[in-house]
Amino acid sequence: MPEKNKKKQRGFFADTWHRLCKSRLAVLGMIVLVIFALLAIFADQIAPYPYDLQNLEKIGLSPCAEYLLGTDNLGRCMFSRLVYGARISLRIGFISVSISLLAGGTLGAVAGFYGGKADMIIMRCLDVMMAIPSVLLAIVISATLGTGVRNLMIAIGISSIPSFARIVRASTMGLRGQEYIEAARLSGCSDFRIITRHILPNILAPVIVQVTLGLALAILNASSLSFLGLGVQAPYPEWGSMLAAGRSYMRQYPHMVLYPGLAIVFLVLSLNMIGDGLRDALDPRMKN
Amino acid sequence: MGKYIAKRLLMMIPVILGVVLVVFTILRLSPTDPIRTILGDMASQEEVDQMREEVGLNDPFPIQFFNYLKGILTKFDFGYSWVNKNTVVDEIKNRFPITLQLAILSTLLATAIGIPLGIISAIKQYSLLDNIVSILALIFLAMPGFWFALMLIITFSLKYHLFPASGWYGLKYMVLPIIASGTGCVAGIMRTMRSNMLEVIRQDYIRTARAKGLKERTIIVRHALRNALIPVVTLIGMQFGRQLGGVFVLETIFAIPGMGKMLVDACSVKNIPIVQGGVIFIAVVFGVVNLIVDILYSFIDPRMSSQYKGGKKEKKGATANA
Repeated sequence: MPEKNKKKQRGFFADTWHRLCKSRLAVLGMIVLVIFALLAIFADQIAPYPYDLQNLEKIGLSPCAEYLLGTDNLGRCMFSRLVYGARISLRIGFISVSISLLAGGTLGAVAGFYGGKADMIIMRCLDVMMAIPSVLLAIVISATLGTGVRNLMIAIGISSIPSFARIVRASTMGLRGQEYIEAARLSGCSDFRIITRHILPNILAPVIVQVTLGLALAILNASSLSFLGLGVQAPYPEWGSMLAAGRSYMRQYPHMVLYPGLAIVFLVLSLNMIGDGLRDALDPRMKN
Repeated sequence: MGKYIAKRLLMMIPVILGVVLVVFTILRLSPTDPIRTILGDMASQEEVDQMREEVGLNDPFPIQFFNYLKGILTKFDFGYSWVNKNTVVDEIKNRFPITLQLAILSTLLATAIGIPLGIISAIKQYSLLDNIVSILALIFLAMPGFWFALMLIITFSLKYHLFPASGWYGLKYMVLPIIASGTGCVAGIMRTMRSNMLEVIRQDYIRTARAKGLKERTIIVRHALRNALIPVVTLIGMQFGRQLGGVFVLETIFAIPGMGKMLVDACSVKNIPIVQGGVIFIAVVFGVVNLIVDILYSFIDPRMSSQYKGGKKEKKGATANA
């Protein structure tokens, strides 16, 4: 019994953190993610060479002491490019998820909170967006806007608006009829205040999970689009575009396609493991 | 049942009209002139102007949209490719069967591997096999399918020359693409199967079945599997639907002339009619596949079929983003 009371005293974040740390996979994921984040932040200090420095005398080297992961077809250091790639991928992931979270979250909250006509209109619009596979939607938007990091982020951000909107809407609807919402309304809270102060904190759990898994998906999709030539362009070392460049040299320099892919796998894997861990940690059914 | 299907089909019409409007609008937001991209830098301004006039790009937006919609509704005319002048309908007719083949084969492969693995993992939870399979599934879910495809090509075509790396001329050419696109789905199917099986096994009626002394095999196959299968069917249906739209990157890597490659190629040269027609077609296919999946439910789960009679079934979209 005292054990249980102690648990109750912890706040939402501390409690979640505590339970997240019990999952070995999630801890592993967090460690890997922190490493990637450090690489991205301190890329200038860590990378031994600038990402676009060509050394035409050392083309297609295999991994060696001088070049940790070898060089590509233009004699650029693969390791440095991968390190800078972490910066690009993480940035694309975070910004595009922010776009979908902001837009999708607002739409979902309005639809779920007000119900009725607003809900119907928003849901019908989302139905239309969901009728198109999200990768295809991102491809079409990105092809129209043109290539570049900014357009890629917009394309990927827009394409996953529906999944965020749906989750926020469903959780908001579940809370709408609750008594404490009614009480807040009676005490004169504005709708905006009710949504931001009373509903938002209570639907955080599913949203946090979706953000983590959404990040993984965004990074994966960004690399596919860049691979197709519709995203980040050379010479920027986005992992997907590095794979696209390496594809023509697969026969001579297989390491050019090996490492960028591994980088994607590790980053996405770490995010997925954290997401799975969070889902379990935040699941009320597994609280005891 | 017939009434339910008719109602669902009717409900698809406004969604598809919405898709037509959205795609049409997005493609006209292009900051560069698509005709210039199609004709190339060598073309003179007169040629560009002439083609713009020809395809109606100089009309005001509402007129363009109205004409497009009128063409579709009255003559089933989706326009023609700006690159090779084929009609969009012909182009899709050529491409879709290839994508369909690929989707059916890889879904079969993924189902045949994913479901048994999921069941075994669940029955023998925390065993060595379960751990290995679960970790492999995690890795495959995080892996970009196209990278796996490149690895397959390096190993099986460049190194050992077992299978060709690109093209679509027969069984031998299908092996690598099917493996590449199938393995992407196996992980999802296996994980869903496993977690649902675990949930079902803990139910009271399974304990009852055990208590009455049924054989373990009967319990799993007759009682647990049927209930655990329902979410898996949704997932397989969704994945199949998505693949019918074309596996964009894989088709490009293996040079498979399917829907995905058609759309990617059309997008990169701004071949607008093909993109429009392709997206609309995919949206229709997607909707129909979802409907078929919902109908399949009633066969697997008798509880569901009663809902169809009332004609009031909520759309099953919530699982879409699992």
